[in-house]
Amino acid sequence: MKKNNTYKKWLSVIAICTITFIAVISCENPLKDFTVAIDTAVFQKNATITIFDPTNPTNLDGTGKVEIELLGDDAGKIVSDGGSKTNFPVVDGVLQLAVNPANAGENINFVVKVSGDDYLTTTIPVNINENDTLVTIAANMVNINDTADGINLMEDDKSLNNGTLEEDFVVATDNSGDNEATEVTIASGTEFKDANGNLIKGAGDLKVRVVNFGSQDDESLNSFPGGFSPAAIELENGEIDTEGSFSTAGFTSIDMFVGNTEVKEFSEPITIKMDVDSEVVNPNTGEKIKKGDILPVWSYSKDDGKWKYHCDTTVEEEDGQLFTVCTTTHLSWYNLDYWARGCTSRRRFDVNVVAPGVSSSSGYRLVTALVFAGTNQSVSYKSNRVQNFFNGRSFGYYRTPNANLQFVVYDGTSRYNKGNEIYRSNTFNGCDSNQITINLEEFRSSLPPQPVNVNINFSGNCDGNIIKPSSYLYMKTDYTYRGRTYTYWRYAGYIRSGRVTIYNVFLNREYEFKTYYKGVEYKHNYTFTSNTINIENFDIPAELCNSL
Amino acid sequence: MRKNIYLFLCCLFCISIATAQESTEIPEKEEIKKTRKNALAVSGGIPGYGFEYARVLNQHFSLRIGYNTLSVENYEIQDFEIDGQNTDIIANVDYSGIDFFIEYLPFKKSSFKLVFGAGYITDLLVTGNITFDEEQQIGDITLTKEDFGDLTLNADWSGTFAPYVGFGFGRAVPKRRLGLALEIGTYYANTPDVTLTATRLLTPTEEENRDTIQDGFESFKFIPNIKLRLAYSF
Repeated sequence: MKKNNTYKKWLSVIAICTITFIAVISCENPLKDFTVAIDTAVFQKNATITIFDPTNPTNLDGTGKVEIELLGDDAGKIVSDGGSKTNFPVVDGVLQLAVNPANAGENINFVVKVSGDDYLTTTIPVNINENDTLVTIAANMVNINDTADGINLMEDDKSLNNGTLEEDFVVATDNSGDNEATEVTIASGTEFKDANGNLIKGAGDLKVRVVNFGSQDDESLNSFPGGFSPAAIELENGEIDTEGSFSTAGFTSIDMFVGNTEVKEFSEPITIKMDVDSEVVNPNTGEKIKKGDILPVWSYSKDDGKWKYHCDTTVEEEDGQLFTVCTTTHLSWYNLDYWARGCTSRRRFDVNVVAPGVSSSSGYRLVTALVFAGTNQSVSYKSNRVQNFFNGRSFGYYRTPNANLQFVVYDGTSRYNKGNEIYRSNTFNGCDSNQITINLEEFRSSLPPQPVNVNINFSGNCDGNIIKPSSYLYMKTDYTYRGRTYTYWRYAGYIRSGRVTIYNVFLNREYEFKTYYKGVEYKHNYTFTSNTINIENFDIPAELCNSL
Repeated sequence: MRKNIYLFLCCLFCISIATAQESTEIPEKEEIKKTRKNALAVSGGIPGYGFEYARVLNQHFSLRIGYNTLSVENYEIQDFEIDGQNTDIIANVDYSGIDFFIEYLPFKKSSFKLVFGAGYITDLLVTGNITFDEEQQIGDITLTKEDFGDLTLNADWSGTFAPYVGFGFGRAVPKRRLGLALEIGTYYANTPDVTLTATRLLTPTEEENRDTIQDGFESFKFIPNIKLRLAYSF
């Protein structure tokens, strides 16, 4: 009996010890090997705006070449990528903005005003809607010291007598060769007013700058402020139209200063005569524009980025040159345009790609454009895109204009290096057609040698913490203009949580990359040796770690 | 801290077991009356509240069938350290299970007991929502913990059949009309299915821990059972 009790005691002790042991091991912290990995994408909704000088992109290298001001009702909801509400640095022509997280759920509209000593002030309307995480926009700047093809600039001064012009003053851009010119005539006796409507007296001489933008050159058309499909315009009857597009016959920018004070209005109307290229197609007739056609003029405020109906003009002809004349009492950009009502914004026009044997990873990255048939003008700045062509690929355009359009493919790799045209679709109406299909076989023989797309998976190390960065990535790229080759930083993709695919690169060739964080640039050279690159535990520089 | 308390309790019971017989000896006349072989009981503790039916099988063995349930909503744990970072955790627990236990009284004159059996865990889901409790200034913007995002960890043992072993004091069917019992034990369940989701800036954490998070819960096959039980015999 005693032996039996001893056995039972041992059994009990063993049971208790077993449970105790279990308790000990099961109390181990299950998160002891847990690693916190952080994405550096502080902001959910971002915009990257590439400001490009087409005559020499390196003119914008560095910082401080242009100044940024944000305009519009939602401007206060925008911050720089460093979180500043007041300082928006442009580094090497790149402006990075983000929506304040407090407003991340809103549809944001604002205008970026870009100005600089060597550049014509321009504005870029930006929309970041509720679903956007990244909006990328590229806009051309007009270098007043070296204008691009199709852009002619003239500056002239005139002394004033107590703020009053004592004789007629005419400023005209070059009209030699194929150039279309703008001529501004200010009548004797005209007085000048500032932004508050006050007469400007005793401030100095009158300085007038007139810039004419032709309707046939890409560089000129790419300088059209905000692109040809603005978010909204004010029609003749005061209504706001959000579903149309411009088809331009040329545009002009006029700036005046008395001393250092910018002129906004005049006591007497000034006269603006704008030449019209005879190749412009009147979308109302489908024929080339001619004497007697009605051509509306629209004004654009560089202070708020809004287009507004100004007047109708009648096309005139003198010595074989078509032109229009209008008058105005205020300064802005003036645009000779046909306004074509677009399709509903909810409708998408799709381009479907057939490319047998071509997968997304081996796709061809090609420059595309949606253009007005006849004029070859881009429908909007968003319609010039680099697309990856592979079998089954589909991409689309919202709010296509109710006009005859064509889809064009080039063999280049960026909008600034379009290369040669290798495909042009048949003409279709932007509202009648919901889709077109492109067979890559039709122009496969014209495609350039196929580079590869490289998938990168990157993680860095900051004091033991794993960092999966999210940032814009730029790659140094050649650009040739007027026979001279420049290099500039081309947007190569967005690194999202350490992952990015870089398109159209060649293996075993060294490339130079750059990222920006809080306005500071970080460069790195890399030679790809494989289509898949894993870079793990990269030691991130201490200065960058400290700013993360 | 919880681990230390658990260890202390276990050691206390080890030491006391030798004397338990004497201190809990019941006079012969108070042995179970043959007419009182059943009991209904309510219990409370870890993992939850329950009710139970028990029946004496013989002098040493009793059968117990019970149901336990627990629901903890938004239990807040502050300043919990994960990977060197201070976090706040909002925990939720949903538990329900059915027990089939055999209670063994090794000593005739003691209420010390060993318990064996199994439980069917119909539902055991532990959810932790983890946020980092620091704000960060980015330029003019203050990033709150909501801006940083959160981690949600789910450990799910539901639908598993778990063997059980335990010990304690107090009979399944008390000798008196009412009896109080204490029981400590553990279920041996499967490793839970663990999922981790992360949002916003913490999104990479999800992928970074995809392989290790399941390993971390590998030893969490043991589900503790510590409860007080009040039984009514009839």
